[in-house]
Amino acid sequence: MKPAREERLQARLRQAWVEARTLVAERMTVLEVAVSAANSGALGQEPRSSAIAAAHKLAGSLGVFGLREASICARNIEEQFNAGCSDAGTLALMLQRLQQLLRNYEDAG
Amino acid sequence: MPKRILLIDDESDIREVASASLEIVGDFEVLTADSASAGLVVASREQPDLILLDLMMPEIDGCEALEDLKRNAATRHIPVIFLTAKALKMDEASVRRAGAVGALLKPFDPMLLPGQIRALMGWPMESHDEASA
Repeated sequence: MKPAREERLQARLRQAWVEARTLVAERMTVLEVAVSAANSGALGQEPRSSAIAAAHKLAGSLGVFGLREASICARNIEEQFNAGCSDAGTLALMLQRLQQLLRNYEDAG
Repeated sequence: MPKRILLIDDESDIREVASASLEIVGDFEVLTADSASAGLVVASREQPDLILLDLMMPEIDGCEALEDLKRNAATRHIPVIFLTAKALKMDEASVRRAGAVGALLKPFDPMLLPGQIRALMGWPMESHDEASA
């Protein structure tokens, strides 16, 4: 692909990321609330369903922005919630990892 | 004249990245809709060359939307490609049974998406299209 075309694409993707950050933050908040509830053994059906949807959307969204590891991490969180989150400790570690990957991306940007 | 693609997806960030990819890398003209019901109206009015249809949407999902498109004489001829998350990956037989040309996985690579669409549709590759993954 010609460099000019690639530069235009990258510029548009950077702009799209700026606009997507609010959505990403909202979805992370949904996950944080659900993981916290899972850790205290009080995760209800509604927050669990919201967390599955949030993790699903994060996996797709982060992936198209090139955050491959973060996308996989979100997918793993989705699977944990889908499986009933019997291991809340692992879920919390996965969320911490996802938070770290997002911080790294922001710091690098 | 560029091919016109209608992208139906409820996620604004996915719509924006896919639009950028299809317009800049693919030289396509892009129409968007944020729901299946809005997409059905746009498809009927604009007669795009292709519809990219997200499988997992609230209210009307991609499969139901495709049924609606195929029931409507004004839209039944428009080819459809599903956009689907890896966790919901459909096998080729299921995609064909549903009436779609194919399915592409989300997350997609914006550099590769236009080439993957051209390959599925049998449209000629552009000289700058990246080889599909």
